[in-house]
Amino acid sequence: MKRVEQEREASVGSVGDTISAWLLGFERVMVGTNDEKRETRAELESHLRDRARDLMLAGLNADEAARRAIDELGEAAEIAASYRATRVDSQRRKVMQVAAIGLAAGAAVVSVAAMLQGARATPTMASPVMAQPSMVASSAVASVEQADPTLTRTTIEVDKSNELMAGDAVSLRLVKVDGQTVALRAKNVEMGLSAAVPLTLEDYRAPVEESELLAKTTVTGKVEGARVVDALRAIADGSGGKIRVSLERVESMTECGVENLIGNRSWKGVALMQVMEELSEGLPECGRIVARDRGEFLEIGPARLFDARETRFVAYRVEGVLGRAFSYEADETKRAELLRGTLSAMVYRDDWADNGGSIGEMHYAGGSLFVKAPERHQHMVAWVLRKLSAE
Amino acid sequence: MFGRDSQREAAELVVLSLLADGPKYGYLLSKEAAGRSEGAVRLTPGVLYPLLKALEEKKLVSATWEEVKAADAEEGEAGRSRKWYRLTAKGKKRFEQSVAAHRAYRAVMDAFLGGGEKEASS
Repeated sequence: MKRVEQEREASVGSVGDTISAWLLGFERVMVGTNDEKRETRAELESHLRDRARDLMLAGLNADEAARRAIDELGEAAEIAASYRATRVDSQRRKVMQVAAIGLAAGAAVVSVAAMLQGARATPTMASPVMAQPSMVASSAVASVEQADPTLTRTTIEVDKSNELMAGDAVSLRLVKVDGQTVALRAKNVEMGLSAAVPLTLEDYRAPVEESELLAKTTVTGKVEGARVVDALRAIADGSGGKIRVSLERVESMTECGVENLIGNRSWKGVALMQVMEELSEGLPECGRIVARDRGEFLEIGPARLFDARETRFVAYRVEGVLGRAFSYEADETKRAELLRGTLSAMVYRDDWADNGGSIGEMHYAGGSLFVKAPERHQHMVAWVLRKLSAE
Repeated sequence: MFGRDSQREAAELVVLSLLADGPKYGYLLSKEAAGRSEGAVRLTPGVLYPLLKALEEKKLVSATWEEVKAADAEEGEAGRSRKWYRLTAKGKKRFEQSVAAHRAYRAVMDAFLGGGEKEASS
């Protein structure tokens, strides 16, 4: 809704020119939709004009005021970068909301690698997918199984002891084809062979676009399962499933940031990266995906499912904390309320029932704080309580 | 534990605090932040506007556009746009939580540093 308000403004002839020129430069480096650019430009223009007006009222001439206002604002590229970081944060959240079908990516990636490996042995073939369309299906052994009925989860087990040969360097990208059809486009970096593989594993060929992800990731392995697609669908529709993926080695990586994701360059990191990154477009949401390192295998699934499994009910004695940290409040009930507010603000803020979340609950009674929440929450709650009660 | 970017969290708390007093637009927020802190807090545009955008996306603030015209503008002449921000109910709750967390954090730090007095009043 727009309001109209009369406001006295100083003469802004040259101010407007200088500011308009800066805004033009800013727009060129700004990333976003046209609407976002238009709104951002309007807001920054308002800021610059307001500032220039104040500076003129303080005695600067119009040109000096405009230049000072722009100088204070900073480099256009830096401002644009700040906005871009906001967008990246938002997109990263979306990426982390990879659907369970994302788990299929790891399997699909490996299956494509296996196909390409087959192709390398027969380099005259026009397309590795077309050459042996039944290879994947026949080597895929059924291991779709219903998980714990009260806790649907998905597991990728990685067996490092298999005897597969060294794999190909493959560039991979998941794309949407014909609307809803999801396909994996792959290119053998070394051999120059290319193919696009729908997740239905039906033969499919299409020109391979330049991959933006996993530019040179070397993957070897195979998928075991009666029909890979069945396992993938079971995972995708949330009914659970288990795919055993053999992943022998991964030699090279891009700058995709696996280190940032899990802290090292281990095979688990790459496996997780593939799952997270490959299916980040056009997929149903199932919330944040997390992983648990189970030693010889990596367990990956929606965070809510792990949370459900790892929820504990713990009673913390908090009389001392209330007396020490909130001594300024005389009423015990109010102290307890302050403590709950503090904890729910400091520990996974959006997860608590008080904040509209559904993962954790806190109740106070008789000097104890009863916390029903997953282990990761309990750990942090305990830490904060220790600090609050410290001398 | 307290977030990856404490500066950003501090800026968020300042902005929420200023908006708790009533709707404001970006430039006014930066002026009031500097004014209240006697220049110690500077919400630079590179921090302020992306932060406001993020807060808006999280529905902690809502925004409306106002058209501002010069007093001597002719009839039908377009003015410029100004974006006003106000706290949502969710934003108010976030602000209250942040204040409580900030006070608790101070208490924790005081326990380590052995310095400051605990909050004397709420």
